[in-house]
Amino acid sequence: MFDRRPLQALQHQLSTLAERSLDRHVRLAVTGLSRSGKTAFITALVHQLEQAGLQQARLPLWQVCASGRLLGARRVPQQHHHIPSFGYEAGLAALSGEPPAWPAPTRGLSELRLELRYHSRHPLWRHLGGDTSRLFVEIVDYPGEWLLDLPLLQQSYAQWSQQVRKQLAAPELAALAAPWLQLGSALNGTSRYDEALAARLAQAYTDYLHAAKAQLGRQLIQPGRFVLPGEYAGAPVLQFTPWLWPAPEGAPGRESLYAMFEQRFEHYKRHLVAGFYHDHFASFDRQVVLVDCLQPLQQGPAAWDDLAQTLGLLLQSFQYGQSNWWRRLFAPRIDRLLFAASKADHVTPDQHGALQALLESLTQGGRAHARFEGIQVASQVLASVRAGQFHTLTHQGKPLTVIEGTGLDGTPVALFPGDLPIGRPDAAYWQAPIQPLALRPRPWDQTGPMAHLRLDQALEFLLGDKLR
Amino acid sequence: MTQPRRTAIRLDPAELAQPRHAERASPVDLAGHLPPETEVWQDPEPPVPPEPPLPRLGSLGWGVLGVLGLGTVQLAWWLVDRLGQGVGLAWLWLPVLALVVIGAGGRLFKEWRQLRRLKRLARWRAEAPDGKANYLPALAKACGLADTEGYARWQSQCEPHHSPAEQQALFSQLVLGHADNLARQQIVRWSSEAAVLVAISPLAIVDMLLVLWRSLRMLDAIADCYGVSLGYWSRITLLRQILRHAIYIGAAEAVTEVGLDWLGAELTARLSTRVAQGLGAGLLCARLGIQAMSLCRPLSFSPNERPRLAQIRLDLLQHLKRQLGNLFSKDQAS
Repeated sequence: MFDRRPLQALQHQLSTLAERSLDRHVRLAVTGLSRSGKTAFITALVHQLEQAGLQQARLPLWQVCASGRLLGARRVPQQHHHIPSFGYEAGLAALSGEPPAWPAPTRGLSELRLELRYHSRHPLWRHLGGDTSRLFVEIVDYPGEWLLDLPLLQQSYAQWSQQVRKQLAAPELAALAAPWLQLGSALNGTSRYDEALAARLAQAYTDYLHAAKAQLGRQLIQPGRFVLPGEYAGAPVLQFTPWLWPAPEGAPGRESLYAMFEQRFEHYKRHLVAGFYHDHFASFDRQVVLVDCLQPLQQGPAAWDDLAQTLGLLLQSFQYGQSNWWRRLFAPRIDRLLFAASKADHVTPDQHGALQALLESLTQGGRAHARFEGIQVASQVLASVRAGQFHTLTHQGKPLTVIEGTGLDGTPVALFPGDLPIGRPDAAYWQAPIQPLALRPRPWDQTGPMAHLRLDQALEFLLGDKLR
Repeated sequence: MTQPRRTAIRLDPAELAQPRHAERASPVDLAGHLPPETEVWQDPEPPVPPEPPLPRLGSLGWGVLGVLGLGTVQLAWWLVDRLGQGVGLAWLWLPVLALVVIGAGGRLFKEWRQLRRLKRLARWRAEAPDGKANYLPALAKACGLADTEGYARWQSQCEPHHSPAEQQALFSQLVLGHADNLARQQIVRWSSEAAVLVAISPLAIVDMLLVLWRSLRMLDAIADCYGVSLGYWSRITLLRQILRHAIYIGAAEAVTEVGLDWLGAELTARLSTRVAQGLGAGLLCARLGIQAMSLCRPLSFSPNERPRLAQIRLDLLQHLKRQLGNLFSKDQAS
């Protein structure tokens, strides 16, 4: 029989090309470190978009919606069949459940495709497309941790091991890494490769990374796929660790454990890290980076410095110009970059300015570089789904806004969490940091879209220019 | 200099007995259930801008006052004189005089009140960028927009987390958007009339008067859309521009007439020149309208909302086409 697959692939490519060249297609990537609210953000965004065409839409500051030109949005089958679909239904079910809960975090790359219909004001589109125009939006979700692997591309296995050794100079990290270091204490440069031992070592190292993340709030995890393996869970390519034991003199023996780890490290770099940039990152048009500034502000100076350092590393992915090889290799084309401080309903509205200033100070370097590359950059403070309500009371003769909501365990909370620091938190701030606050979403009565905070402005920045 | 940082305060949620989904209505419901040292915060009344000080009289003002005073004295003198002579005609003068005084006084008083309101509006507008938004309801009331559907929508869409700038953007879009559309329609209407009339009329002086008349009517119509009337100075600025336009149009008319005569142009050439001239007059009128819009609007335009001449030109052409089409179909029917 005649094989139709190549023909279909060609047709598919042509239609994509046509949509792209007519600018009817946007690939919107959403990333952020774990627990920064990516899943909730995408679920809420799709939810708001699906309701945007209706009378009760809650997006007044999104021009196309406010002017009534948006007809609506619907989910359509995605074009990349090998990428897992984003679990929108599950997320929505969690948010609208009884009691409402935050959606389960995603652990890898996923995608969702939307078709938006609107009345265009552009004379050309009005001419070409008749009364309604279409815009396809592909929302891609991927863990921010994967971007932290970018510096690995320039490091050799020995250099990377050296770097990890330096990190372990910090006593609190060394304590967590002890079981792993203990396990390999008998190793040296000539130790022979043993599959079981390699697996155990890798597991111990992964446990250490998880512990550093969970117990110390560390975000700077390398290699990122160890904690978020995606589809590579259990694959041999993830079974290596840095080498902190006596290294081999000269070239390692071919059968040695060291040589095998080095090979896997190189494979990891070439296929997983570079592969991600080549296959996915290079195709993004718009990027959202979600940052949870509040959690490190509650945890302490070490967590804060770690977040700052991690974001600095993460944002290197948007500094194309710094290394020409990078541009040659991936030819990225992101033209709008949005930094969003999530969970803005966990601080009072009068602190939103301070929160935005914090976000901007955290992402300063990245923003400057991105702007230099010709990327439009914006910072916003938002909450995908409202969990807290604001009430203004008089407390000791002054107005005081408190946040009222329900804690994750179901207990009601009414709290003024404290002022945020202005600029970088100093020693005086750490004396009395803001109170931790973890609320669950407000119950949704299903009569209109869920309550949110500034999603409309995020949409205006991300899609506004495509819907003229 | 700066206020000290406030630290966390935990309230007892049980006492803050909380109706669900009641963010907007809540403060009143809470009153009975609060911890001892807290009570519901009432927003202070929106600040009413202070009364503008009485205008200081310049030398011109003193001169006018002096002349007026002299005139009154003279008039009184004359009246007393005549009445003393017992001539009956003077008795007829008295009611006429009273009418004139009452009319002029009323007019002056009205102007003065309008001027004061406009000054207040200008003050609001000047205050707008630096971050207080609770004057917006008063502004809507002052412009007579408080009963509109847009105002109701604005009130329902505004949430506590919206910053003053966001509230203003929403106000500008939801409340004033409708007025913008009306004003734009007025511009198209009056400038298309100006275009047609200028195209038809053969005399330069008539053209000038037409443009003057139509432009003035348009200004009032636009001001009506925003519930304000034009201020003295803005009116003067616009009037100067209207005069300039009128002169330009008169000159253009005269030059084309004379030029066409010299060249001995045919009927079709004459016709098309006239149409072009009419269109030019219409566009000038529309440009003036846009300026009047930005002068009358209580909040300044955001870059997205600013009306564009190109768009109005399209509307104008469409409007003219429709009018001409109607004209011809009527002709054929008769």
